[in-house]
Amino acid sequence: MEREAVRSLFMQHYARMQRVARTLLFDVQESEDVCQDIFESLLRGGTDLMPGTEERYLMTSVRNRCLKRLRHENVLQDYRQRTTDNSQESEDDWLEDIVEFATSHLSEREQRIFNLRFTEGYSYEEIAAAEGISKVAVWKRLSHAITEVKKHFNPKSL
Amino acid sequence: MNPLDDKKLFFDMQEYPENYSDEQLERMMAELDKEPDTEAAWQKTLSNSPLKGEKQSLDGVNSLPLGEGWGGSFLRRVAAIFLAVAFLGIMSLASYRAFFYKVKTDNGQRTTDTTAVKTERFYVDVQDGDTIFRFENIRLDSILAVVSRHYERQVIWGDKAPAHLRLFITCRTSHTLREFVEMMNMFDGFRITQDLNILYVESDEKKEGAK
Repeated sequence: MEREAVRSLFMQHYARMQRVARTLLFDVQESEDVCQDIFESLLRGGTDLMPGTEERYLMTSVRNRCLKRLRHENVLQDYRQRTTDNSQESEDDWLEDIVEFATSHLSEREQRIFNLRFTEGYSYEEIAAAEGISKVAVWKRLSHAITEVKKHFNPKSL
Repeated sequence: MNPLDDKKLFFDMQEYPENYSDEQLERMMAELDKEPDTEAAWQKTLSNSPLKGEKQSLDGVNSLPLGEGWGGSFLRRVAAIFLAVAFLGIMSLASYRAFFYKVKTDNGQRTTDTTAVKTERFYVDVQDGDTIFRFENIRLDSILAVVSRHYERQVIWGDKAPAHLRLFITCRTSHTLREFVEMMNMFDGFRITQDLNILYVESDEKKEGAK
Protein backbone atom coordinates (compact mmCIF):
# COMPACT_ATOMS: atom_id res chain seq x y z
CA MET A 1 0.00 0.00 0.00
CA GLU A 2 1.07 3.57 -0.59
CA ARG A 3 2.54 5.30 2.41
CA GLU A 4 -0.13 8.02 2.38
CA ALA A 5 -2.92 5.45 2.34
CA VAL A 6 -1.34 3.63 5.29
CA ARG A 7 -0.88 6.91 7.13
CA SER A 8 -4.54 7.74 6.61
CA LEU A 9 -5.58 4.36 8.08
CA PHE A 10 -3.15 4.85 10.94
CA MET A 11 -4.58 8.24 11.89
CA GLN A 12 -8.11 6.91 11.66
CA HIS A 13 -7.82 3.64 13.56
CA TYR A 14 -4.69 3.63 15.71
CA ALA A 15 -6.35 4.91 18.90
CA ARG A 16 -9.07 2.26 18.81
CA MET A 17 -6.59 -0.46 18.00
CA GLN A 18 -4.58 0.66 21.00
CA ARG A 19 -7.61 0.30 23.25
CA VAL A 20 -8.27 -3.26 22.14
CA ALA A 21 -4.61 -4.12 22.65
CA ARG A 22 -4.43 -2.48 26.06
CA THR A 23 -7.59 -4.20 27.18
CA LEU A 24 -6.22 -7.60 26.19
CA LEU A 25 -2.52 -7.24 26.96
CA PHE A 26 -2.65 -4.65 29.68
CA ASP A 27 0.78 -3.43 28.65
CA VAL A 28 1.40 -0.07 27.00
CA GLN A 29 4.64 -0.99 25.25
CA GLU A 30 3.39 -4.33 23.99
CA SER A 31 0.18 -2.74 22.77
CA GLU A 32 2.16 -0.18 20.78
CA ASP A 33 4.34 -2.91 19.32
CA VAL A 34 1.36 -4.96 18.20
CA CYS A 35 -0.35 -2.02 16.47
CA GLN A 36 2.83 -0.75 14.88
CA ASP A 37 3.70 -4.23 13.57
CA ILE A 38 0.44 -4.29 11.67
CA PHE A 39 1.12 -0.98 9.98
CA GLU A 40 4.73 -1.92 9.27
CA SER A 41 3.43 -4.96 7.47
CA LEU A 42 1.16 -2.73 5.36
CA LEU A 43 4.10 -0.43 4.63
CA ARG A 44 6.18 -3.39 3.48
CA GLY A 45 3.54 -3.93 0.84
CA GLY A 46 2.83 -7.59 1.51
CA THR A 47 -0.84 -6.92 2.01
CA ASP A 48 -3.32 -4.88 0.07
CA LEU A 49 -6.80 -4.34 1.34
CA MET A 50 -10.01 -4.29 -0.60
CA PRO A 51 -11.88 -1.00 -0.19
CA GLY A 52 -14.33 -1.16 2.67
CA THR A 53 -12.55 -3.96 4.51
CA GLU A 54 -9.74 -1.92 6.07
CA GLU A 55 -11.32 -1.33 9.46
CA ARG A 56 -12.37 -4.95 9.83
CA TYR A 57 -8.93 -6.11 8.84
CA LEU A 58 -7.16 -3.81 11.29
CA MET A 59 -9.39 -4.55 14.27
CA THR A 60 -9.32 -8.29 13.66
CA SER A 61 -5.57 -8.22 13.17
CA VAL A 62 -4.93 -6.41 16.41
CA ARG A 63 -7.16 -8.80 18.36
CA ASN A 64 -5.58 -11.87 16.78
CA ARG A 65 -2.06 -10.65 17.36
CA CYS A 66 -2.81 -9.86 20.98
CA LEU A 67 -4.30 -13.32 21.47
CA LYS A 68 -1.27 -14.84 19.82
CA ARG A 69 0.99 -12.99 22.24
CA LEU A 70 -1.12 -14.16 25.12
CA ARG A 71 -0.70 -17.70 23.88
CA HIS A 72 3.04 -17.44 23.57
CA GLU A 73 4.00 -15.45 26.58
CA ASN A 74 3.83 -15.84 30.27
CA VAL A 75 0.83 -13.58 30.33
CA LEU A 76 -1.07 -16.61 29.11
CA GLN A 77 -0.54 -18.51 32.31
CA ASP A 78 -1.70 -15.52 34.25
CA TYR A 79 -4.77 -15.22 32.08
CA ARG A 80 -5.56 -18.93 31.94
CA GLN A 81 -5.43 -19.33 35.67
CA ARG A 82 -8.10 -16.72 35.84
CA THR A 83 -10.35 -18.08 33.18
CA THR A 84 -9.95 -21.77 32.52
CA ASP A 85 -8.84 -25.03 33.89
CA ASN A 86 -5.57 -26.28 32.40
CA SER A 87 -7.31 -28.97 30.43
CA GLN A 88 -6.03 -30.69 27.32
CA GLU A 89 -8.18 -28.49 25.19
CA SER A 90 -6.17 -26.57 22.62
CA GLU A 91 -5.79 -22.82 22.99
CA ASP A 92 -7.66 -22.18 19.77
CA ASP A 93 -10.61 -24.22 20.97
CA TRP A 94 -10.45 -22.46 24.28
CA LEU A 95 -10.69 -19.02 22.68
CA GLU A 96 -13.42 -20.14 20.34
CA ASP A 97 -15.40 -21.55 23.24
CA ILE A 98 -15.15 -18.31 25.16
CA VAL A 99 -16.36 -16.29 22.20
CA GLU A 100 -19.21 -18.73 21.60
CA PHE A 101 -20.17 -18.66 25.23
CA ALA A 102 -20.08 -14.87 25.34
CA THR A 103 -22.41 -14.61 22.40
CA SER A 104 -24.87 -17.24 23.58
CA HIS A 105 -25.04 -16.92 27.37
CA LEU A 106 -24.74 -13.24 28.12
CA SER A 107 -27.61 -10.81 28.13
CA GLU A 108 -28.04 -8.76 24.97
CA ARG A 109 -26.68 -5.67 26.63
CA GLU A 110 -23.65 -7.52 27.99
CA GLN A 111 -22.99 -8.99 24.58
CA ARG A 112 -23.12 -5.54 23.03
CA ILE A 113 -20.78 -4.08 25.65
CA PHE A 114 -18.42 -7.05 25.40
CA ASN A 115 -18.31 -6.71 21.64
CA LEU A 116 -17.91 -2.93 21.63
CA ARG A 117 -14.97 -3.14 24.00
CA PHE A 118 -13.11 -6.27 22.96
CA THR A 119 -13.81 -6.32 19.25
CA GLU A 120 -14.52 -2.76 18.20
CA GLY A 121 -12.19 -0.94 20.57
CA TYR A 122 -14.68 1.65 21.78
CA SER A 123 -13.74 3.70 24.83
CA TYR A 124 -15.64 3.24 28.08
CA GLU A 125 -17.05 6.70 27.57
CA GLU A 126 -18.31 5.89 24.07
CA ILE A 127 -19.90 2.66 25.27
CA ALA A 128 -21.53 4.48 28.18
CA ALA A 129 -22.96 7.06 25.79
CA ALA A 130 -24.16 4.39 23.37
CA GLU A 131 -25.86 2.39 26.12
CA GLY A 132 -27.14 5.37 28.09
CA ILE A 133 -25.44 4.25 31.31
CA SER A 134 -22.48 5.50 33.37
CA LYS A 135 -18.88 4.45 32.72
CA VAL A 136 -18.78 2.68 36.07
CA ALA A 137 -21.87 0.72 35.06
CA VAL A 138 -20.11 -0.28 31.85
CA TRP A 139 -17.12 -1.52 33.87
CA LYS A 140 -19.42 -3.52 36.15
CA ARG A 141 -21.30 -5.07 33.21
CA LEU A 142 -18.03 -6.14 31.67
CA SER A 143 -16.91 -7.44 35.02
CA HIS A 144 -20.10 -9.51 35.29
CA ALA A 145 -19.64 -10.84 31.77
CA ILE A 146 -16.08 -11.93 32.55
CA THR A 147 -17.23 -13.57 35.81
CA GLU A 148 -19.87 -15.52 33.88
CA VAL A 149 -17.23 -16.70 31.45
CA LYS A 150 -15.04 -17.84 34.33
CA LYS A 151 -17.93 -19.52 36.10
CA HIS A 152 -18.64 -21.52 32.98
CA PHE A 153 -15.09 -22.49 32.15
CA ASN A 154 -13.60 -22.93 35.58
CA PRO A 155 -16.17 -23.15 38.36
CA LYS A 156 -13.53 -24.36 40.82
CA SER A 157 -11.80 -20.98 40.72
CA LEU A 158 -14.79 -19.19 42.19
CA MET B 1 1.48 4.94 40.88
CA ASN B 2 0.25 4.55 37.33
CA PRO B 3 -2.57 1.96 37.44
CA LEU B 4 -1.24 0.42 34.23
CA ASP B 5 1.90 -0.60 36.11
CA ASP B 6 -0.07 -3.05 38.20
CA LYS B 7 -1.72 -5.95 36.41
CA LYS B 8 -2.91 -7.51 39.65
CA LEU B 9 -4.79 -4.34 40.49
CA PHE B 10 -6.42 -4.40 37.05
CA PHE B 11 -7.52 -8.02 37.38
CA ASP B 12 -8.73 -7.45 40.90
CA MET B 13 -10.74 -4.43 39.82
CA GLN B 14 -12.17 -6.48 37.01
CA GLU B 15 -13.16 -9.35 39.29
CA TYR B 16 -14.26 -7.41 42.36
CA PRO B 17 -15.37 -3.95 41.25
CA GLU B 18 -17.46 -3.70 44.41
CA ASN B 19 -14.24 -3.39 46.42
CA TYR B 20 -13.29 -0.16 44.70
CA SER B 21 -14.73 3.30 44.67
CA ASP B 22 -16.17 4.84 41.52
CA GLU B 23 -13.21 7.23 41.45
CA GLN B 24 -10.71 4.36 41.45
CA LEU B 25 -12.56 2.58 38.66
CA GLU B 26 -12.77 5.77 36.64
CA ARG B 27 -9.06 6.40 37.09
CA MET B 28 -8.31 2.92 35.75
CA MET B 29 -10.65 3.45 32.80
CA ALA B 30 -9.04 6.80 32.06
CA GLU B 31 -5.62 5.14 31.94
CA LEU B 32 -6.85 2.37 29.66
CA ASP B 33 -8.50 4.88 27.33
CA LYS B 34 -5.77 7.50 27.34
CA GLU B 35 -5.49 8.89 23.82
CA PRO B 36 -2.15 7.98 22.29
CA ASP B 37 0.01 10.55 20.49
CA THR B 38 -0.89 9.26 17.04
CA GLU B 39 1.54 11.47 15.13
CA ALA B 40 4.49 10.41 17.30
CA ALA B 41 3.43 6.76 17.01
CA TRP B 42 3.27 7.10 13.21
CA GLN B 43 6.77 8.57 13.09
CA LYS B 44 7.98 5.71 15.26
CA THR B 45 6.32 3.18 12.96
CA LEU B 46 8.01 4.78 9.96
CA SER B 47 11.39 4.77 11.63
CA ASN B 48 10.97 1.08 12.57
CA SER B 49 9.67 0.19 9.15
CA PRO B 50 11.73 -2.58 7.56
CA LEU B 51 11.55 -0.75 4.23
CA LYS B 52 14.85 0.88 5.06
CA GLY B 53 16.57 -2.37 5.89
CA GLU B 54 15.21 -4.19 2.86
CA LYS B 55 16.30 -1.42 0.57
CA GLN B 56 19.78 -1.47 2.01
CA SER B 57 20.07 -5.23 1.53
CA LEU B 58 19.04 -4.99 -2.07
CA ASP B 59 21.39 -2.09 -2.61
CA GLY B 60 24.11 -4.22 -1.09
CA VAL B 61 23.45 -7.02 -3.56
CA ASN B 62 23.29 -4.65 -6.49
CA SER B 63 26.51 -2.97 -5.57
CA LEU B 64 28.40 -6.22 -5.27
CA PRO B 65 30.75 -5.30 -8.04
CA LEU B 66 33.21 -3.52 -6.05
CA GLY B 67 33.25 0.17 -5.92
CA GLU B 68 35.97 1.75 -3.95
CA GLY B 69 34.13 1.21 -0.70
CA TRP B 70 34.31 -2.55 -1.17
CA GLY B 71 38.04 -2.78 -1.62
CA GLY B 72 38.94 -2.60 2.03
CA SER B 73 36.69 -5.20 3.67
CA PHE B 74 36.94 -8.92 3.20
CA LEU B 75 34.12 -9.54 5.61
CA ARG B 76 31.78 -7.31 3.67
CA ARG B 77 32.62 -9.19 0.49
CA VAL B 78 31.81 -12.46 2.20
CA ALA B 79 28.57 -10.99 3.52
CA ALA B 80 27.64 -9.72 0.07
CA ILE B 81 28.36 -13.08 -1.53
CA PHE B 82 26.31 -14.77 1.15
CA LEU B 83 23.43 -12.38 0.48
CA ALA B 84 23.68 -12.99 -3.24
CA VAL B 85 23.66 -16.77 -2.74
CA ALA B 86 20.70 -16.50 -0.39
CA PHE B 87 18.88 -14.30 -2.91
CA LEU B 88 19.54 -16.76 -5.73
CA GLY B 89 18.45 -19.61 -3.48
CA ILE B 90 15.15 -17.92 -2.78
CA MET B 91 14.60 -17.19 -6.45
CA SER B 92 15.37 -20.82 -7.30
CA LEU B 93 12.94 -22.00 -4.67
CA ALA B 94 10.30 -19.67 -6.08
CA SER B 95 10.91 -20.96 -9.60
CA TYR B 96 10.85 -24.54 -8.41
CA ARG B 97 7.59 -24.09 -6.58
CA ALA B 98 6.00 -22.20 -9.46
CA PHE B 99 7.04 -25.01 -11.78
CA PHE B 100 5.90 -27.64 -9.31
CA TYR B 101 2.47 -26.15 -9.08
CA LYS B 102 2.37 -25.65 -12.83
CA VAL B 103 2.93 -29.24 -13.79
CA LYS B 104 1.05 -31.08 -11.12
CA THR B 105 -2.64 -31.82 -11.49
CA ASP B 106 -4.94 -33.53 -9.08
CA ASN B 107 -8.38 -34.23 -10.33
CA GLY B 108 -11.17 -32.76 -12.42
CA GLN B 109 -12.45 -30.59 -9.67
CA ARG B 110 -9.20 -28.73 -9.39
CA THR B 111 -8.29 -28.52 -13.05
CA THR B 112 -9.38 -24.93 -13.21
CA ASP B 113 -7.27 -24.06 -10.18
CA THR B 114 -4.18 -25.60 -11.69
CA THR B 115 -4.72 -23.90 -15.02
CA ALA B 116 -4.93 -20.62 -13.23
CA VAL B 117 -1.70 -21.30 -11.38
CA LYS B 118 0.05 -21.80 -14.70
CA THR B 119 -0.40 -18.17 -15.56
CA GLU B 120 -0.08 -16.75 -12.07
CA ARG B 121 3.19 -15.88 -10.51
CA PHE B 122 3.73 -15.78 -6.80
CA TYR B 123 6.79 -15.32 -4.68
CA VAL B 124 8.35 -17.44 -2.03
CA ASP B 125 10.38 -15.67 0.58
CA VAL B 126 12.12 -16.68 3.76
CA GLN B 127 12.08 -14.49 6.82
CA ASP B 128 13.43 -15.53 10.21
CA GLY B 129 13.26 -19.16 9.15
CA ASP B 130 9.64 -18.80 8.16
CA THR B 131 8.64 -19.52 4.55
CA ILE B 132 6.34 -16.91 3.13
CA PHE B 133 4.12 -17.07 0.07
CA ARG B 134 3.64 -13.62 -1.34
CA PHE B 135 0.69 -13.27 -3.68
CA GLU B 136 0.42 -10.02 -5.53
CA ASN B 137 -2.70 -9.53 -7.58
CA ILE B 138 -3.28 -13.28 -7.77
CA ARG B 139 -6.59 -15.05 -8.38
CA LEU B 140 -8.27 -16.64 -5.40
CA ASP B 141 -8.31 -20.08 -7.02
CA SER B 142 -4.56 -19.89 -7.61
CA ILE B 143 -3.91 -18.85 -4.03
CA LEU B 144 -6.03 -21.65 -2.67
CA ALA B 145 -4.38 -24.19 -4.95
CA VAL B 146 -1.01 -23.27 -3.46
CA VAL B 147 -2.06 -22.93 0.14
CA SER B 148 -4.24 -26.05 0.16
CA ARG B 149 -1.24 -28.10 -0.93
CA HIS B 150 0.77 -26.71 1.94
CA TYR B 151 -1.92 -27.63 4.46
CA GLU B 152 -2.82 -30.82 2.61
CA ARG B 153 -6.44 -29.92 2.17
CA GLN B 154 -8.81 -30.23 -0.77
CA VAL B 155 -10.59 -27.16 -2.09
CA ILE B 156 -14.27 -27.53 -2.91
CA TRP B 157 -16.05 -24.66 -4.59
CA GLY B 158 -19.67 -24.10 -3.62
CA ASP B 159 -19.72 -21.85 -6.64
CA LYS B 160 -16.91 -20.58 -8.82
CA ALA B 161 -18.02 -16.96 -8.80
CA PRO B 162 -15.31 -15.76 -6.40
CA ALA B 163 -12.54 -17.81 -8.06
CA HIS B 164 -11.49 -14.90 -10.26
CA LEU B 165 -11.15 -12.38 -7.41
CA ARG B 166 -7.62 -11.04 -7.23
CA LEU B 167 -5.94 -10.48 -3.89
CA PHE B 168 -2.73 -9.13 -2.46
CA ILE B 169 -1.80 -11.23 0.54
CA THR B 170 1.14 -12.69 2.34
CA CYS B 171 0.85 -16.13 3.92
CA ARG B 172 3.33 -17.44 6.43
CA THR B 173 3.68 -21.18 6.55
CA SER B 174 4.12 -20.96 10.33
CA HIS B 175 0.52 -19.82 10.59
CA THR B 176 -2.13 -22.40 11.29
CA LEU B 177 -4.77 -23.20 8.70
CA ARG B 178 -7.29 -21.64 11.00
CA GLU B 179 -5.36 -18.37 10.99
CA PHE B 180 -5.15 -18.48 7.22
CA VAL B 181 -8.90 -19.05 6.88
CA GLU B 182 -9.60 -16.26 9.33
CA MET B 183 -7.36 -13.89 7.38
CA MET B 184 -8.99 -14.81 4.08
CA ASN B 185 -12.47 -14.31 5.49
CA MET B 186 -11.62 -10.72 6.24
CA PHE B 187 -11.98 -10.08 2.53
CA ASP B 188 -15.37 -9.47 0.98
CA GLY B 189 -16.87 -11.52 -1.82
CA PHE B 190 -16.32 -15.02 -0.53
CA ARG B 191 -16.39 -17.17 2.55
CA ILE B 192 -14.12 -20.11 3.35
CA THR B 193 -15.06 -22.78 5.85
CA GLN B 194 -12.92 -25.63 7.03
CA ASP B 195 -14.34 -29.08 7.50
CA LEU B 196 -11.94 -31.94 8.22
CA ASN B 197 -9.72 -32.13 5.14
CA ILE B 198 -11.79 -29.79 3.02
CA LEU B 199 -11.74 -26.07 2.43
CA TYR B 200 -15.19 -25.11 1.24
CA VAL B 201 -15.43 -21.86 -0.69
CA GLU B 202 -18.61 -20.02 -1.53
CA SER B 203 -19.50 -16.50 -2.47
CA ASP B 204 -20.85 -14.10 0.13
CA GLU B 205 -23.98 -13.56 -1.93
CA LYS B 206 -24.81 -17.25 -2.04
CA LYS B 207 -24.36 -17.60 1.68
CA GLU B 208 -26.53 -14.60 2.46
CA GLY B 209 -29.12 -15.83 0.02
CA ALA B 210 -29.26 -19.18 1.75
CA LYS B 211 -30.10 -17.65 5.11
